[in-house]
Amino acid sequence: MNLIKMEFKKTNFKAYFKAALGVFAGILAMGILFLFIPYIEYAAPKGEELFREWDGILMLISVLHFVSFGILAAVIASKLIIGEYGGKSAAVFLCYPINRKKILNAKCLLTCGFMTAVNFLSCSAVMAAVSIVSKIAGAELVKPNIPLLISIPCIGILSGVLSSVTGIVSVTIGWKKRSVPAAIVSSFVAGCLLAQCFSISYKNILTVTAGVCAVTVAASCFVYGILAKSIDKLEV
Amino acid sequence: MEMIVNAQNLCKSFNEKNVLQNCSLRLFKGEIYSILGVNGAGKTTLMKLLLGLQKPDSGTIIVLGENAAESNRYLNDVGSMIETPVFYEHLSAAENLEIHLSYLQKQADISKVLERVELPFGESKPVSRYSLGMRQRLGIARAIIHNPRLLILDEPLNGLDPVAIAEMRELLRRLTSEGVTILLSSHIISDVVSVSDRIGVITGGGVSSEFSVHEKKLMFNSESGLEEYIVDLMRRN
Repeated sequence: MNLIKMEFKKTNFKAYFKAALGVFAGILAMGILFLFIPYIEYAAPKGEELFREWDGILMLISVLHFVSFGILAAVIASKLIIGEYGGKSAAVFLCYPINRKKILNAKCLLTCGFMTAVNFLSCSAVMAAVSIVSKIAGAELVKPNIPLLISIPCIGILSGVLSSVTGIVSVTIGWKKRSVPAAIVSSFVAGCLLAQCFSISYKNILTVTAGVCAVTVAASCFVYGILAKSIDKLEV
Repeated sequence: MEMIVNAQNLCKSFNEKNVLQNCSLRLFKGEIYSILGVNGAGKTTLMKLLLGLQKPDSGTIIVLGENAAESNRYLNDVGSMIETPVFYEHLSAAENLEIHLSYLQKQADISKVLERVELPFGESKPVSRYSLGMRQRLGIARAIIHNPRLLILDEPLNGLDPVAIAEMRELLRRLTSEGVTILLSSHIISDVVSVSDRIGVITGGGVSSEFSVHEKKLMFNSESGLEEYIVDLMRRN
């Protein structure tokens, strides 16, 4: 816990909060736009159906969340991991007689915690705002049911886990090249690939998200092991 | 005399280029030992090996009675500044030192150490706005704040003005009188000569010559003569 606190203290999170706010605003704008897509004259019938149901809108919003916050997670994790171990600061940092894996765990837990909290808050706020706008604008959507309302915060948390995992896997790729841009591009590619899984069924969005999350977390544990080993043997 | 560092037959190569070959070094309590050598001679590599930042291909390193290959606990009692000191740029000097102490799980009076290196305490100015000289002072402050028994300083006088260099010399002298052992490297031979007790010259991957500064000063009768002698030793590679 102390190590996580220290990581938080020494990282300039102000900039990341601002970036998260920007992402939130962008997704909110997209969410409101989704409400009005069925009213566009030439909307495709299948697409129209997706935008007339809350499940469909929730699916699109959750995909937007984990892809865009996944990139932010990659930026944060890159700064914490590649920036510290790959730069000149490593000569200071590695002189501390602390287990390197413990510090790496703290960095990853901090990234996961931040991303999960931000995703949860953003997802819930966007859905609340979109539902208010739909009422004001009189958008005709299928009435949301109770399970859907319960699934919104769950999906917020799962999106957060997916974003974090995407970020950490991307950092492992970036670490191989000691390159932050490589990590960011990887996170974008990984996010786009994972987003394809959501086309399976938007009616069971919670089940699909949980399934994708479970598979990705399992894969990332393996990738994390490679990163931890590499940092443990790191020489500067 | 208590031996603080005993490094024996160290070898280290990078991409099949031997940087250190059977390099040995002994440091005793309370002395200032300077390593001199041309660029790429292996000074920084030797320091990094002592700090556990790199692992030797062969050889043994015993620091403060601990074998570096078996444990890194000795790092709690070692202060270091390798190359240009790096800090958390958005934080103040005091906050940077606080983090350093937290990692070492030690406590110290931050205001005192900042005063010692003549940096203002209680200032919220981030380190990103510090000059090179101020950063160097802060690097020294970070190296000494936890009262280490061994100080490893790579080019500590870089970026300091003449007054600051004189003050730094005094500080290093005071530290040795408190029992701290100092290993330093510098390109400025005159500074090294004026502050060191012993000097080791690295050529061909090892400490090829080692001498007491006091004895050589007596022998050459002048510092300039000693400086010429050192340059000549460095050229012999």
